[in-house]
Amino acid sequence: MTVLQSFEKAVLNEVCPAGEAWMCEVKKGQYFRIIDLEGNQAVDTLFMSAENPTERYSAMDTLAINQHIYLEKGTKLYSNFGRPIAVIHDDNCGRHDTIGGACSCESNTVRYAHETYPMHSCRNNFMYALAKHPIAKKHGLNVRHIGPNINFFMNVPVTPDGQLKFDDGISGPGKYVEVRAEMDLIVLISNCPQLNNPCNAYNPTKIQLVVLEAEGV
Amino acid sequence: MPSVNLFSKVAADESGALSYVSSDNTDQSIELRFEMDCLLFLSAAPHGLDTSPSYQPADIQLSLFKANSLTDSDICRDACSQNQRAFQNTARYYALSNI
Repeated sequence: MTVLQSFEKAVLNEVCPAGEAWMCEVKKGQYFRIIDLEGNQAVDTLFMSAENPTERYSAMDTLAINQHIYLEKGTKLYSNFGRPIAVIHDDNCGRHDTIGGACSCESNTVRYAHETYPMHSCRNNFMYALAKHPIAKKHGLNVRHIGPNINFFMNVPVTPDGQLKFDDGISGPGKYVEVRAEMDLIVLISNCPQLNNPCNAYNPTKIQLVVLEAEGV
Repeated sequence: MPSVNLFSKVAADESGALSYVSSDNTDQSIELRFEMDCLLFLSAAPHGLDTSPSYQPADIQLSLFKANSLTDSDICRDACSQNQRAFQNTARYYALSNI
């Protein structure tokens, strides 16, 4: 049975069903928590500046500035303008990926088989949300705002000879990650529907999303 | 947009720490065959993680020439089934865009 976590200072507390897209806004200083309710669920995530959405999370800047390929507690997430966009303030999963990218119909055909083209994918989720969600409309977002993303709760180890492995997850039921927004943010999530590799344990599940008030408010 | 850093090696250790692996690339070359019509932008600057105390960008030579046609067996296309499916996607893309 799924156990939702409860919070006194939540300004938002929602559940995103398995395989779906989701969006919200987070103010600078607020905390944004994602809870892997049933375990082993990859959560593909994009952060953009609400003030200027051309400024957004940059996997490349984050890797190069931190000189570290895994995202862990304390990791600063950087924008394409080289500024901190958020910080991983709390985490009980261990590490998260930002190399593996988001699954798409096209990448599924290459990695698995042409027959997988019609299956649900994160890029389709992103595109659907960017076309339909009121927050996307409010900020004038479109498909060009998709960039390399974070895969929270996803385990993509890099071997010493440079191989990427899409491994079974290291997350479990109730594991969470919490970032502190360093600027006003737009959050775009695809609760990954991938069924062709073990990133969701071949069983996509729902996640809980919580925005907590900034310190001292 | 993320770029490719040709001639630059960056290695990750088991903990995930990245380090630049310096090497002398004098007279080394790389040849790419294009499977699609492309725009190409490049910057011949040292790598961002290069720890050399001096800033020493170097000249590069660029050549563009016609590639041979694909044969029945091709090292790029046939290196793995993923590549084969990707080449099929490109062929379909051009087949549809030429209708």
